[in-house]
Amino acid sequence: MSDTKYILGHFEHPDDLMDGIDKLQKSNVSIYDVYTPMPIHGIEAKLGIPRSRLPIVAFLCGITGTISGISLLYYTLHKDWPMNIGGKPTLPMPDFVPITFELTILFCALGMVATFYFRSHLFPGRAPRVMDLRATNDRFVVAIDARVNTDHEKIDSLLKDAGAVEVLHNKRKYVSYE
Amino acid sequence: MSSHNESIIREPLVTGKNITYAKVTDDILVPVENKPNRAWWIGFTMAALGAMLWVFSVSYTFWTGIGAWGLNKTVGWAWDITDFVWWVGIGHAGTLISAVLLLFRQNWRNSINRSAEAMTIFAVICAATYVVAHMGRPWLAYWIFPLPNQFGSLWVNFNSPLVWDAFAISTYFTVSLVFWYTGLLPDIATVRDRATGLRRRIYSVLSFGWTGNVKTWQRFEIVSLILAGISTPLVLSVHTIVSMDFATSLIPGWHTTIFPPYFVAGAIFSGFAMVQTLLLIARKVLNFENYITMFHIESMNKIIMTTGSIVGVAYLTELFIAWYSGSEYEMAAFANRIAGPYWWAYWSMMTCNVISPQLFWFKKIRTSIPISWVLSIVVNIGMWFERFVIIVTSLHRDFLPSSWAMFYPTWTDVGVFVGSIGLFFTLFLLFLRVLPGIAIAEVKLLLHSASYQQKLKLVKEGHLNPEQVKFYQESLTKYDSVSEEEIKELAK
Amino acid sequence: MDSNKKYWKGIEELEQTPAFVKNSKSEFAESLPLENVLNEAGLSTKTPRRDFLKALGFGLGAVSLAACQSTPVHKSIPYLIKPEEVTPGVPNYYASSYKGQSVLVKTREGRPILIEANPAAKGLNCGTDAATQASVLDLYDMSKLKGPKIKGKEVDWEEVDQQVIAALNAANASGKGIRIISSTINSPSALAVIAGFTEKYPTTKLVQVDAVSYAGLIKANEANFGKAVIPHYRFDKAEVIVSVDADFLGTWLASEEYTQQFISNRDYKSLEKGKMSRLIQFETGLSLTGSNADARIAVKLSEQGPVLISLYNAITGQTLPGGVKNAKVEKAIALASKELLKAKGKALVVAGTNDVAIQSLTNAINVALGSYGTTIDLDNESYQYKGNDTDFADFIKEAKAGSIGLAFFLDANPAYEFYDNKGFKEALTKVPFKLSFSDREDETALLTDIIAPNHNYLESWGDANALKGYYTIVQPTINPVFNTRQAEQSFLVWTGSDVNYHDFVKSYWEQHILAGTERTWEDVLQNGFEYKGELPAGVYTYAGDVTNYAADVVNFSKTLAKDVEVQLYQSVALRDGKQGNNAYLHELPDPISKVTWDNYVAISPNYAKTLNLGENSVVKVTDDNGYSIELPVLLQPGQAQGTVSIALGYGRTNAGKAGNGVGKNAYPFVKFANGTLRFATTAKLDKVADTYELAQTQTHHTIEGRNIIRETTFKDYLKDPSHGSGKDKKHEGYDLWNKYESPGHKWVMAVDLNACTGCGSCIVACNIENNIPVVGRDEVRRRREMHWMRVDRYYSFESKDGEQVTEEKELNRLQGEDETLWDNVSVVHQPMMCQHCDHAPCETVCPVLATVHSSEGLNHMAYNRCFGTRYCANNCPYKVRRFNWFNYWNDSRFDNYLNNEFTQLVLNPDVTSRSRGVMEKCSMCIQRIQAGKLKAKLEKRPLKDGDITLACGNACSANAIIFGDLNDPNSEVSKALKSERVYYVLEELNVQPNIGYMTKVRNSLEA
Repeated sequence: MSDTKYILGHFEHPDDLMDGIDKLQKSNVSIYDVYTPMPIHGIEAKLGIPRSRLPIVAFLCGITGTISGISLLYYTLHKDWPMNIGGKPTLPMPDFVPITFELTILFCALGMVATFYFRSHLFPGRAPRVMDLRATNDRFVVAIDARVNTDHEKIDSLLKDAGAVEVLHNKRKYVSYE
Repeated sequence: MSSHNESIIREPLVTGKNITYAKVTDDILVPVENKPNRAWWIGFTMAALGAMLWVFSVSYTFWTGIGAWGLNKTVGWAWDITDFVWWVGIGHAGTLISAVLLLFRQNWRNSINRSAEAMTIFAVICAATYVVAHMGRPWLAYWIFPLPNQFGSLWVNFNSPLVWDAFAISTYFTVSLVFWYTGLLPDIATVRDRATGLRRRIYSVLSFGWTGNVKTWQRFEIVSLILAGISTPLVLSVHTIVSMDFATSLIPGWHTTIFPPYFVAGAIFSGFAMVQTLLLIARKVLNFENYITMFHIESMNKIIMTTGSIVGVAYLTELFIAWYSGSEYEMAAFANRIAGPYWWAYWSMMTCNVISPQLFWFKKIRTSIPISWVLSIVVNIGMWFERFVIIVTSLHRDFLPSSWAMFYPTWTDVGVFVGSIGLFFTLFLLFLRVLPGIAIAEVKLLLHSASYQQKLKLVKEGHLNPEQVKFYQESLTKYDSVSEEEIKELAK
Repeated sequence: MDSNKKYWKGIEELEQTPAFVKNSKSEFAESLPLENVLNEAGLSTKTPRRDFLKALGFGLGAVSLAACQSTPVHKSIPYLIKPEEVTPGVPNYYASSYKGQSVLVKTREGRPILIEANPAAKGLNCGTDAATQASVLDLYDMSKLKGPKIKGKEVDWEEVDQQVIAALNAANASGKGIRIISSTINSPSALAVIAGFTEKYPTTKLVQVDAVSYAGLIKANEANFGKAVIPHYRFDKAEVIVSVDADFLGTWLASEEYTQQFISNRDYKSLEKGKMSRLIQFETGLSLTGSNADARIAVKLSEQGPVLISLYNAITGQTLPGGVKNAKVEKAIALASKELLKAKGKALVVAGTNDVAIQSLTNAINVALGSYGTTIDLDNESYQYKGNDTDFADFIKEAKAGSIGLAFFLDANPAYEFYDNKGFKEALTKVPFKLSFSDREDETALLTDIIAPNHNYLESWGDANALKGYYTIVQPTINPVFNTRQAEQSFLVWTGSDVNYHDFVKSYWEQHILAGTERTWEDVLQNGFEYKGELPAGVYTYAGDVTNYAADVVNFSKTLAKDVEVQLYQSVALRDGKQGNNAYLHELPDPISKVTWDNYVAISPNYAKTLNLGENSVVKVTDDNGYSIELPVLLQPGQAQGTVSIALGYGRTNAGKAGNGVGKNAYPFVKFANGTLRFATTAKLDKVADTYELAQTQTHHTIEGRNIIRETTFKDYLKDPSHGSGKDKKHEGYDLWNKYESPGHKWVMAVDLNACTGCGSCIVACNIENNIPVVGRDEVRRRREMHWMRVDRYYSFESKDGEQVTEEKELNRLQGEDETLWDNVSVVHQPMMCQHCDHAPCETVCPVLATVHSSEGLNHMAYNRCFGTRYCANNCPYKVRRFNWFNYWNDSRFDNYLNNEFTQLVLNPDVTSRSRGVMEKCSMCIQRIQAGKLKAKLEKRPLKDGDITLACGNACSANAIIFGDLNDPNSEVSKALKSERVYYVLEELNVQPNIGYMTKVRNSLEA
């Protein structure tokens, strides 16, 4: 029993990567994760990753912005201290449009991005959980948990004939950032 | 598996032979991973000097008072707001490229959006400085926001376009920044994983721990899409609101409903011109010819030409409406623009903004780098004059002839403006050094669909319509990054 | 039981041992070892470480404690013993008088801050001129002397008195003359003092000389009627007025009173009665009066006399030779004479010149018109100007001859304002002892041995008698600020009397003026004047040979027949230049040219072209005595061809910080001929290479055919009172929003364009009331003057074919072919200030709500909230908002007057002085409105119309600015605004201004 923790298949071309994933899945090798230097379309379907719900978040934040905008304007200009400004009414609806709109956008953008960072554990200073340094450069890396999938030779061969340029057996999960 | 092969008649967005993912990374990170070359140092020194001039002029203004500028009782705004609108306008191209073109699935945006967005952010910073600097009591600038204060329930005037402005500009800046930085994360990660030592530590902090796993990429794309979706109306709203500073007033020449669309068009116009000015230099100095190709340059020139024509139409419409309205003040205002003491400003605006972009109808000019560069600068001069004409010539002769006056700039006016340009370039040059000037991940997307070599492969595979191949071949002739042999190679 | 316990310090005390008793006397129980410390040994011994440390510790402690003292704190100390009439925050008004006008002085916490007309006064009872308004600033002038000086070194009064009395006795002994050179003194008490002084020193003579003299008029009246006086003109009784170069609305004699009289036949009240007088002006330079004339004919200086000859001929039917040869003028004269004859008995002809012959001719015309006893009153004469040019000429002769031992200069500055100041200076060297009462080291004072600074009138007791039977009181409103002494007091001292001048005035009044009346001194102090009533008109027969006068006139005109004719005039602001250090007056734009801070050569554009002069060019003016000055050129439409006009009163060299070197001195051009000073001469003009930009507050002069000025003729007005007001084509106005109600008051203003003469005293009044900074020439050049209130002046020109040209384009086209275009100018003055629009564009755009609307219809400005985006100013269609580009009130670069704590005492404590970067504008004197409301409230009564007046309206002698509450249907303003003449400037913008303007009506002269 080797002390390999993870097997990494390096591909040079996204098509080969997809091919490899198919092969692995056909032979019931569970894939831990895939790291790519660029987004690969259709891969999430293959790996059965559900649709993201960020759009809903975005919508909710936007609505919040709209409401807070309107209420701010209503409170300050009409409720708290109504004044005669150039003879205009204290609820000049057209004049409320720009700021309400801007606040909607602002809340929407900030809320959504914040959620994205939070859910994906992205924040300044987080130690990167990188399994292979070239995954952000020119390699499309498929990672397989070597503990779950014990038949390492088979995985190797599967990856190889899918066109993997390199197969690594890592004893450590992450590249050290110390 | 050639599912995402695009039609052969489309021109390549990435040129050069045997370009691999690795090569893309290497090429783009050259400026980030190496010591700056002489050209950069020269540029940076000049820019830095400009920035110092800016610091000096602005401090002098703060110290002595706005009286240091050439303003007077009749002309309350001149260079300050001219420069403000100019910078905001320039900023718009970035968002437009990154957002609108993304929505329209214009892949050629991928290699220019990064620097364009950076430009946006720096331009908006420059603009924001004027918002503060033009105030009589700048140390109270924060009063523009509805903050609870010791004066009891004293809020701000939400009827005032200046307040809308404050909200619009700050929202715009925040959203652009977020959009830009989110897009940067994968590339910063790339730099991080190639770097060592302290650089690695720094970039690892900046990278927010990006790894590029599937789920994150998925969310990343959703976020980019939605941000693009909301930035598009945002960018339109920002210049609309800027234009309302004038449109909602009653000064003849300001009081015009055409302003919002006209300002937005102008903004795109000047913004693309500025992108052109920057990238034509950058691609040469940083050897990005293969990624920012002649196709990009030509497309941008086309946009400049279009928006330039829109602006031209707007100018003529203004004149027509002034006459058609029958309002003597309106007519007087425009007669004064054309033939008044500031006629030269009006006519330089007309020449630079309406006539010069029309040259881009000629392919030769459109695809000539030096001419495009010169014209891009001419356009921005013209756009500066446009704002000067709108602001000063409308104010200096309004309703009561008794208060008609002239405006003459002082050295401080000039210093603040020239200085702000210096500030802008300082920031931009620093950006080119520390962050990838082209979105690496996004360019990689194009590598196997829209690159020269991909199409070469297709041609080699044969079974393509020969006429289309011929067409494609001819289209390559304008590329400065594609050599004769490479074109010949297609013929084989 | 009470305890009588006793405690001892010790057994010694109980026993009272002699040692104890002895020691208990001395301070220290055992004597200190002082000797051995102080003797050689003691001093040479080393200080022990412990002592040293003790000393060190103490020293450090002491020093550090001392260091804890923070920077000195300036505590403002409240009134310890409060004068019981002073309530902090509440102004006191004192009756006083300035130049014979009875005024009220507003004081706050014991310092005068504003001058207002005395509403109870006889004659001029509303409004003052700009100079009077500004005079309060002279009190706080830093350039004044702090005390008496002998030969430039500060001394005390005793020393001055010794030296003067010695000199006086010396002069007396040697029989040499003693002369008091003074501008007109019409103060009875002062004259009495001088009389007493003359008794003591019989060789004394009072020489009265006015910088701008009216001796010619006096001499003419003496010759013609045997009365050497200036008559009291009654413009209110005149229906037709012909003025030959007399600027009686601006600077001629009692111009402010004449304004009041003149306007009373032209303002909206009189128009509603269907009455309007007609003024026909023949003049050389475009004067304030000319700008208000119904018909104005530009004539050369040399034609003024001939004009009167022709007029005389036309009226009397005689044929004196030497009439004017100029078709246009002759036509005008024909019309004028017709008008005059039609209005016989209600007609008046005045001439501005100081020439006896011309004035006599004028008198002859007035006799023929029966003006005496109606429009001219010889019996209640005016004492405003008694200066006698020949007396002063004699003084110089005597002085040169060395027969003068002593010369006093009282309120006279010949070294500056006498034409032959070289001769004067030379004469002065022959006078052994000279003394000046000047409050500053002015041009003359510098030549004297002693300067005995006089009080400012606000520090003095005194009186005046400007008009026969009309006595006004001068009472101090503040203690003398510096170590000065009133001139009259000095004379009393030198006469040897120890009476104090206040008592002197008091007793004089009680003996002479109040005698026979039941009124007491206190009554006078309260209402400020005593009026004896008019004397009935006497009968006068005209003596003098008109033909001789005509001959003289012709000869005089001949003398002007070479080079360029130069008219020397007084500017409305600076007059004769006595207030030469008054920044308010320097920055007050000239009513016609709108030039500040300079005098200039006014020349007609056509004539300028022939001399190839243009805007900003500079000319050297040289007269035949060789005196020359370089002055910038001002292209002045309406200026007679072949003539130029130069203002006197500028070019002071020793006026003070603000006034020194402003403009050039034109006095030396004045000529002295047949016994009077002539303000008409000739000179050569040579273009100088360099250029000079005049600081004008208005640089565009036509209304560009816009309807911001609406005017009509009297003829049309009678047909339809609303003619020209645009009422006829009134459109229905629509409102997007519901109107805001003004439940309490609604403050509005009505401006009568027909009453406003454009004199500009409202501007100065506004400056003073609202602490508006003076910014200086350069800032005005940059168009940054701060005046909240301005008077716009527009020209319109009548082309050959009789249509009005108001557009620059048209003018430029015509001026080529139509050479008389520039002469046929008509002028309109439009006071312009914040219009307090109900739909104020400025309010909508202010981001921080620094300017909002009040429930009383006012457009408020909250300085503290403003952070200076200037958006409001840009969006103001009237451009009445002013921005503080710098910290004008303390910035060394703008040190015109306000940058020292002393002068800052002139500030009105009710109005904050604005900091840098803040917008400001007319507040409709909100402080006055609040004060008025508060007063009414304290008196538990509703506010009455007239309780509240605005600084501008208050200063207006013509009552052109009417302020009040629109919600009160009986207020003067609501009545005025009902007039059909009312229109609102730019009303088509629907900003709904609250200031209504009444159309300008011209009683124009049709053939």
